Amino acid sequence: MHSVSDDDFDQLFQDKLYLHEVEPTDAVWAGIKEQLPALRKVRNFPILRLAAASMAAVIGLGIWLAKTKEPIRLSGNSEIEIEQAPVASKIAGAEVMTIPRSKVLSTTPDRMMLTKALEEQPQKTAKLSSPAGKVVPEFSVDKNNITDESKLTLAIKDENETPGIETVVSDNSSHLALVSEDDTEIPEEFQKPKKIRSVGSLVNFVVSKVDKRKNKIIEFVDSDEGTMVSGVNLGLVKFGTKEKNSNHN
Amino acid sequence: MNLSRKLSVDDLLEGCKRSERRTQELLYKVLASRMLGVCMRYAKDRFEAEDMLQMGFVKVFQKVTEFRGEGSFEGWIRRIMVNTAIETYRKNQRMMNVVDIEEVYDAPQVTFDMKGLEVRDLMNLIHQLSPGYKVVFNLYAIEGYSHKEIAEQLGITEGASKSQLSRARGILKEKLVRIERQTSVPNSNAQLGNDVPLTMAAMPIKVN
Repeated sequence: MHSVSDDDFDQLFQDKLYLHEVEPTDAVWAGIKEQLPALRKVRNFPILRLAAASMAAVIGLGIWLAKTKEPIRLSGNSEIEIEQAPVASKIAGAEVMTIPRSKVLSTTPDRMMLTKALEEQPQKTAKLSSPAGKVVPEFSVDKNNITDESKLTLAIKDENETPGIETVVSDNSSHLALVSEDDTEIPEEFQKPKKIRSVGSLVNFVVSKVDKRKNKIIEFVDSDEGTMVSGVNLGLVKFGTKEKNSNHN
Repeated sequence: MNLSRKLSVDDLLEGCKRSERRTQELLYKVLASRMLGVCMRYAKDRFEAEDMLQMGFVKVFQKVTEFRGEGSFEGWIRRIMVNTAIETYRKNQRMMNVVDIEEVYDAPQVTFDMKGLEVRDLMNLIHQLSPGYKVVFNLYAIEGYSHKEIAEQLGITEGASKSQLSRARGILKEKLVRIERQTSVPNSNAQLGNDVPLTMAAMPIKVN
């Protein structure tokens, strides 16, 4: 017999009861088994897996769209070469020049402005003619403005435009060759900006700032009947793009 | 035996995570009797203890994928059983016998011959406690919880936990004294309370 402290008293119960075992009846496992199929059903509905698969699909679609984004590429020669035939060397100021294609002015107001400038300074203008008596556009180079390549201007005239401006006809063999491809498009950034006249054109403007692909995600055209969708490009799904391209061309 | 049990329980973990029915059954067979022993200390009878055991194992199979390996697998299962017992106690016992710290029962200093106590006797003594005292004594003295943990689990203050533990000890010691008195008077078993097991009546107990 000995005195018992609280700790010894607790230890007595712990030693005897902590590992105490009692055999359960079979009904307990049977009850557990009844509830386990319900657990399996819950596991068969993988919400987390569905969410993860959805996220993966969205991310994959985004990556795929980013990869299919068409880069803007200029086809053909990147520079316009103006060649002068041997006969043309007699013409004062005529020489072979290399002009960046992006500096070609194509719009009529620009041509008018340059032509007017040429008339004011005729002595500094080179007039070239084509062989075989053909009427060719006149190329006038304002050499005063050629301080560097970026300031070079070139005026192109043809017989159908700008009446009153002289067209040179000659039977010699001098000619000026403008090496370029007719079907090459001038990049959008150098085209004159279109006016925003409708909601469709406003959407086109906004989309063109965001979507740099040739075929935009959505594009509208203004017609007599109003604004219509001319093309949709969702990556996998495209429609109306051919018609839109033909309209552009 | 403990080592072999531990290895087998740990080996069954992966199969349980894959919800293999055969592995789940093996785990149940290995641990059911021990876990029922835990539940028996908290329940008011065997039926309630088996209900606790069933609910506890269902939770084990539901949450086994959340087991991170911090501690033993068997220890984790044991905590689930204890928590299940606490939930059952809180459902059944909305009104606990909370005793203020000033009312802590000052148990008399007694001496016992502890070697004579059997598991069944101790279980009978614990079951004579009120539910509040029983759960606090089980958590502190046998499971090794601190008063802070007990307070969090039961939603009581630490002071209430201490006072209930003290009261539970006092009641248990008082019953052992009564057993000692019974044994010191031959042929007086008829005067003892009905809650005292016969095996304890034969124990030598001396009161200071």
